[in-house]
Amino acid sequence: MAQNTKTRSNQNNERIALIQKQRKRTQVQNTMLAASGILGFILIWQIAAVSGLVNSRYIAKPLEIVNLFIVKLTDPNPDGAVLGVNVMSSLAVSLSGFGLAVLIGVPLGLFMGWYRGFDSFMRPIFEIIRPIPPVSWIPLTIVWLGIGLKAKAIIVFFAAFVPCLINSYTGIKQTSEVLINVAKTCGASNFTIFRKVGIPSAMTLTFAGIKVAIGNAWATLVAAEMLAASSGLGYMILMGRQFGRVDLVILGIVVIGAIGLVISKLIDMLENKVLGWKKL
Amino acid sequence: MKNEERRKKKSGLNVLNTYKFNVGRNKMKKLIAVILVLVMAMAVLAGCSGRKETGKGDYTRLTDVETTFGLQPFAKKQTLRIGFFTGSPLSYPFLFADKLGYFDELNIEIEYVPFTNGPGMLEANAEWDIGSMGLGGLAAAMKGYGFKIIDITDYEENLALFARPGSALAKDPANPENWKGTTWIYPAGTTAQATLVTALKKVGLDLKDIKSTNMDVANALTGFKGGTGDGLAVWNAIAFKAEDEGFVRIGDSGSLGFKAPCGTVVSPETLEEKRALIETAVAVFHFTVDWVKENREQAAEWYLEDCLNEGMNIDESIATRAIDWYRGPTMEEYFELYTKTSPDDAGLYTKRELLQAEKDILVGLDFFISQGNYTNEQRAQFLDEKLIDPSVAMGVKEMLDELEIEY
Repeated sequence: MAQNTKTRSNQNNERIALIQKQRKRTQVQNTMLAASGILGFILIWQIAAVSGLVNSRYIAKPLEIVNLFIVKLTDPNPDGAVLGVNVMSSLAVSLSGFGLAVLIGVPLGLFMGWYRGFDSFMRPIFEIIRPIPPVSWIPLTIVWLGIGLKAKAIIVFFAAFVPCLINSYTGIKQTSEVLINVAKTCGASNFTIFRKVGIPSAMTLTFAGIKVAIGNAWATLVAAEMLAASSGLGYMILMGRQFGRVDLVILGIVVIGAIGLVISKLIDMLENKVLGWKKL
Repeated sequence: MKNEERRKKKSGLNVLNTYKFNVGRNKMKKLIAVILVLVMAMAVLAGCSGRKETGKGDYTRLTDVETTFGLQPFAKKQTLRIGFFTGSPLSYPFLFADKLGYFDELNIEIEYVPFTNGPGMLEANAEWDIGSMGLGGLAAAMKGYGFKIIDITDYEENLALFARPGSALAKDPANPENWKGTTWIYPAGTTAQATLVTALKKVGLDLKDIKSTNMDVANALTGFKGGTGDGLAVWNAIAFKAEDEGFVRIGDSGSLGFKAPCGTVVSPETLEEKRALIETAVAVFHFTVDWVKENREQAAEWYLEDCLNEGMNIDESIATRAIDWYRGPTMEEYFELYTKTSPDDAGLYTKRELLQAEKDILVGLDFFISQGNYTNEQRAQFLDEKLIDPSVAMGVKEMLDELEIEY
């Protein structure tokens, strides 16, 4: 009997090891595919630029971008700030706008989705604000808030706020009736059900909204830095336009993309931590 | 028993078929993925392939037709697409000439492609044949696009600096202490910044002594009105608007002696394809500059009409002032700019003497170089490649001399 249990336990361990091995192999394969996709794209780009298929006036070669990246780490020319300063400046704008959007948008969406009266009160205002393009707030923002960080963060906030609110709203609306009824049967109050059943159920969609929001925040960055800036990645792109420097524009775009990717991965990690209980 | 075997066989076949189907489906997925990646890459590259070739046109001229300036019309209708700087007088003689029928009688149709800034115009260069812009745009056109500057269309004197009424700076702009630590709003990397630096130099300061914030001109005035900043550097109609808002003009490119030429650029390919047409249009432009100087009221009326059509918020008074400040060169001045030569004032370029047009553009370019926006190597390259190109001026002169037209 004891030997049987031992054998079964060994078999299980072998199975787990096999599954883990397979998962690792799949992960390595996926990473390789992702890397080869990026490298393939860069290779096609380099070939097209070197062969003259694409006019060099309109697109810089990838190697030139790499070279400029290294130069910009220490050289403030031609836009007046080194890359590090530009990155920090843009992070300050995008993360303050994004952070504000998450702090306000997510709880608001959860409350609107759970409390019908609050939803009826807030929804018309939200529906009016929702379709307004974030950049159209620029003239009013200048008048109301001047041209400092606050004004730029508000432009980014408008872009990031909508997906945060909509996704948390939809997420909590989709809470299973069965779970709600079980909680009710156990004598939980409405607020306890909201806190212990509604919010955890809404988290998957909420995180999806947050990921969309961070994308929107970076997408609006250039417009926000058009408002007024003396450094930042959007500003660097604008100066690239001003001086006919396609390489500077592309470098700005690539760095924004890379930072967006890093932040997105950080959000993924946070999601895995928060929603670990949902995963198999 | 037989049934059992048949069932097993059938089931085996099903498994095999499913396997084959799955393998086929996976192959198809991979094929579609590869095709999609290729299509995406091709689409991206096609988007970057640049301007389309239009081919050389038929520029035969009619010799027996009388026209206003004595120029010969084209036998076939010609179309010239102009990158038009809305709101800036630098390109308006084209529009006035069109209104006066000068292009029509030469069998030239003008297509306007309006822009409100140089970088935007340059990016959309496939949409126009020639484009007129300010000094910042001219430098970018040479560096980023290899375009040739074939004409000087204006000398902007209304690049203006404003301070708040009652401020120490407004009361005494000659005192450097009043400048130190002030916050200035202006479009960075433009002639407005160059004007500000010129004013700072006059009181022994530079950009490090003040705080700078980059804004486009329209937003800069809105921000300044909203209470942001101590100083504002803007141009054109926005400068007059700032004046009308009660802000104090403490200097401008005209009074500070900063030369800010505006010009017309063209790609080498288009110049080769449409040289006859471009030369004729440039000749008409400079004849029309004479008309503007004698008919400022009518010019201001048409300027206002166009600005309002393009959605700019200006009035009659601003339009009149904008035309009053217009300093486009006449035909004679244009020829002088592209023929008179003298050594490089900075002493950097010694291979040949420089044209006056080159020297005027270098004044602004040297400022951009001092700010780290361009390099001296690029300066030398522009001159080596003769990107400030006198060939159109020479062509126009030859044409007028041949036709015995006075200028």
